[in-house]
Amino acid sequence: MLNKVNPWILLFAVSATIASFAQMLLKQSATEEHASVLKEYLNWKVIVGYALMFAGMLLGVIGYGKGVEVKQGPVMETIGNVWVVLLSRAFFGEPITKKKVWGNVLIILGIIIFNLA
Amino acid sequence: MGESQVKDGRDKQKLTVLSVILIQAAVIIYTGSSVCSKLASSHPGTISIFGAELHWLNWVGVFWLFMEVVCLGLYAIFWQQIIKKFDLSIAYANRAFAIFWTFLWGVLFFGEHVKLLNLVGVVIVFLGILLVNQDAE
Repeated sequence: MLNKVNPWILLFAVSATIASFAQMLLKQSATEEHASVLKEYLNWKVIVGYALMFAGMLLGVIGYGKGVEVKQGPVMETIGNVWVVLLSRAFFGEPITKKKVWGNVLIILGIIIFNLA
Repeated sequence: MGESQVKDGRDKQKLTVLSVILIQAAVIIYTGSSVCSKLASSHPGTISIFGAELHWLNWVGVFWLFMEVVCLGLYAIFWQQIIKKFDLSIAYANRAFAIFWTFLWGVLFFGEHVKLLNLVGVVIVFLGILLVNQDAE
């Protein structure tokens, strides 16, 4: 049950939160015109975006080192979808549709059920 | 967007069997990062760089950390092209399969056990991801 859950799985939720902010930067960069293919990758948004992902990556290693199983990490990281919906609203004004709300409800429900095992 | 122009009007590619295989190849590379991360974490120790000692991973652990960066780097290159060429809904729907791939690696490489509630949870999460990204553009 949930009381047996390794609390270090929460590091993956934190990692996903950081990665969601990174995705905002990457999306901004991906939708912009760049002078060259090289500059599609070497601009501050992409660099900071991947630096944030690197920080999240290190959190993942710490989490796995604390006994989190490989199957658990990516499932916990799906919480990032919830963040992306909220941040996309904040950064790009994207509407929060009913599908997004229900999708996020399913994601959170799925994570809880997954961790009941 | 400042001086940048947004490419909203560009054409997106249609999804073919080949493109699904290519996107899934990128997703598999991405899931390789979890495997490398777990392997890195299983090599705790100390390394010495320019006289300074870092107490976390040994050199084997650092190697797997490096390999994780390689996986994410390759994935980043592919992903930037994928989200340029395909609708985000298609890209994210394909990436959602990452949780199934990682499940497979957990069982195959680390002998992890899959319980029924794990599978039920993952399928619900997967459906949730599909729903969230259904109208992504």
